Amino acid sequence: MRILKISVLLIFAAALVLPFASTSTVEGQGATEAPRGFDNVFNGFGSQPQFDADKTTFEERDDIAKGLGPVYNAQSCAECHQNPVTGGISQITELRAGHFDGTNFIDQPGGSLNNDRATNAEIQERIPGGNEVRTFRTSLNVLGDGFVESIDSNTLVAISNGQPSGMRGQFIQVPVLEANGANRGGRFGWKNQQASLLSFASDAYLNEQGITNRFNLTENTSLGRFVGFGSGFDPVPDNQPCASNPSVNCGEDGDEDINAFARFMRATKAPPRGPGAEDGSNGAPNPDIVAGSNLFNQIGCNICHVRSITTLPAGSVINGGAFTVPAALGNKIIHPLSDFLLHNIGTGDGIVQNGGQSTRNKLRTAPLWGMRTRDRIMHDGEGLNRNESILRHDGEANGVINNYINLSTTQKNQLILFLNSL
Amino acid sequence: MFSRGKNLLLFGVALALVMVGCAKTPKPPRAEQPPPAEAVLPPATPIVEVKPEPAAKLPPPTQDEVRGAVARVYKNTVVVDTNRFAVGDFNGDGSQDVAVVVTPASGMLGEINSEVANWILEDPQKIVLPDPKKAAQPLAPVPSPTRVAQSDVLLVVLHGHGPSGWRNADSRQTYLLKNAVEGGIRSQQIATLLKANSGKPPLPRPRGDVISETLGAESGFLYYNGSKYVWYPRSQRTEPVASK
Repeated sequence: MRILKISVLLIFAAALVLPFASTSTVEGQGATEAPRGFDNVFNGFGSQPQFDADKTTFEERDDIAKGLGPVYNAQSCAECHQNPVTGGISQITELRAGHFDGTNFIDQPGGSLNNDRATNAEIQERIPGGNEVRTFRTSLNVLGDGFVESIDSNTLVAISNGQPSGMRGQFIQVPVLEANGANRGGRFGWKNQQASLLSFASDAYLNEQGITNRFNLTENTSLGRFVGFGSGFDPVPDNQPCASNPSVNCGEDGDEDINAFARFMRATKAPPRGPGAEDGSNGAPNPDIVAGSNLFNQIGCNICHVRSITTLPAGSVINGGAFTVPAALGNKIIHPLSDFLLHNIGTGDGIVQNGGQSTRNKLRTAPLWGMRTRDRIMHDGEGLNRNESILRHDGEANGVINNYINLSTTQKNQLILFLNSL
Repeated sequence: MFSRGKNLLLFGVALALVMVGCAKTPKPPRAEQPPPAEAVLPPATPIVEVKPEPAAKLPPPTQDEVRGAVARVYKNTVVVDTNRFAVGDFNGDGSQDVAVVVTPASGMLGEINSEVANWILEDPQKIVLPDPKKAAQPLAPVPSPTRVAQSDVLLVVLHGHGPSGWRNADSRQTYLLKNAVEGGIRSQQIATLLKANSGKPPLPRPRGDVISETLGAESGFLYYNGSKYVWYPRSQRTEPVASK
């Protein structure tokens, strides 16, 4: 009898707990905040040891024997993407140049990117005369970019469609290299010239470090002059077998570092908010930051600097079928403060990349997350204080900036305090 | 008859069965749906770039219009010299801009030099551009912030917006330039500048029209480089320029 009583009590207790236990499963199906942090901890994609190993590869300094150059900008990814942790921003700029003939932009010989370094002084690139369109481009933050990659292209189109007609961002589609050139909505780079992180890594490995790889097998020239293997300037042939599949040509990247770069970027957390953030994510909200956050919306900054975007559900196939959104990146709410669209706000650099001539004077809306880690802002790094950088916006942003101009000194300072909390 | 203990036991069992029956049955792990492949979007509609038209043929500015345009942004912080102004498309966006000589109004230096002023304050003579002939060079140090003194003569450049240019009530982007004016100023169209320079040592490539004048006994011009106004003395001729 005693055993029977105990059994009944246990069943009774289980019955009471069961309804509550099943509730948490339901809650878990909604979108959740993406993890944030400048802490060198992975975001749940892969594993921490894998993340650490990939980060080491991202930080690895390459040399000539590895394929560096002959023309290049940096010896490692982390030279330009580093502040305050690997994957963040830096003060380093790249230089682009070309010529505008009155109708079209034309690259300088060999492409608009003018590499700042060379492995031999004889092939150093210097902007040739007649290429009067020149711009510096600051290096970009890649922290949290796995979430950005996981945004549905249709979401970007919907954002554009929701913007006022005079401010509608331009959506462009660009080839995904690992999907045989299938098109996808561009979102990476100042001109939205890349849509996937593997394509982005491949492009940067060639153009910034001069290392050919399986998606970019042709070495860069020096202003049109061939300097690849066989020219006497490049000792590394562009035909190394890929480590994972020797039947595939991996150029100078036999170790397939581009995979590690992409994996690293996909596994980074999003930039976290600073102290006093209005969302309470870093201590008690500062009333001035709260006010600045509200002003940011009221005057219309959030039309282009979009505050929240939800990524595709886990299991979604993106990048032309080449990548499936994992659980760590799927259905996450991020706060990039960008629409990842191209706009003309009067600061355009005159350079055309993947988007065609109509994008000549347009730039991607700068994601403002992590902005407090930048002292040189705007695409050219010419903005040395927040107020001047805001005032440099014109064109499509004219109405918003006029709203800013009408703010009181106190309100402007609150808005700037908010920006400095990002 | 059942004993009291048995009754309680039966009641407990019945209650437990009711509770279990009411509980939500935990759903089995959701079977993975076929991945919702990202919709293939139609190719982006080609957007034909609207080429900036030459600044519209607008009537000559009147002194009142110029004074009103400056007051739109600067309010009462500066005094306008209504005899010295010039119009042109200085930033090359197709809208007519205006450059006007001003002096600080009495007691307004705090507002003029404010960190959150509604204008971009700079000294065009402090802007040092990289030498395009040198591949590697130290960048010029960031100039110290420009401060306006009461005795300064300043140049306001107000960028126009839309077809009516600087007259448009929405035209408010403006640069306040120190060490940028001494005597008269004159607008010079970029095409005229390039034509006049044909066969001579090359010039930099401004974004739009330039403001010609003489500073420190040297003739030259102010031009917009996309982010700043830069002083270019004609004796400093460094780089080739493409014909337009």
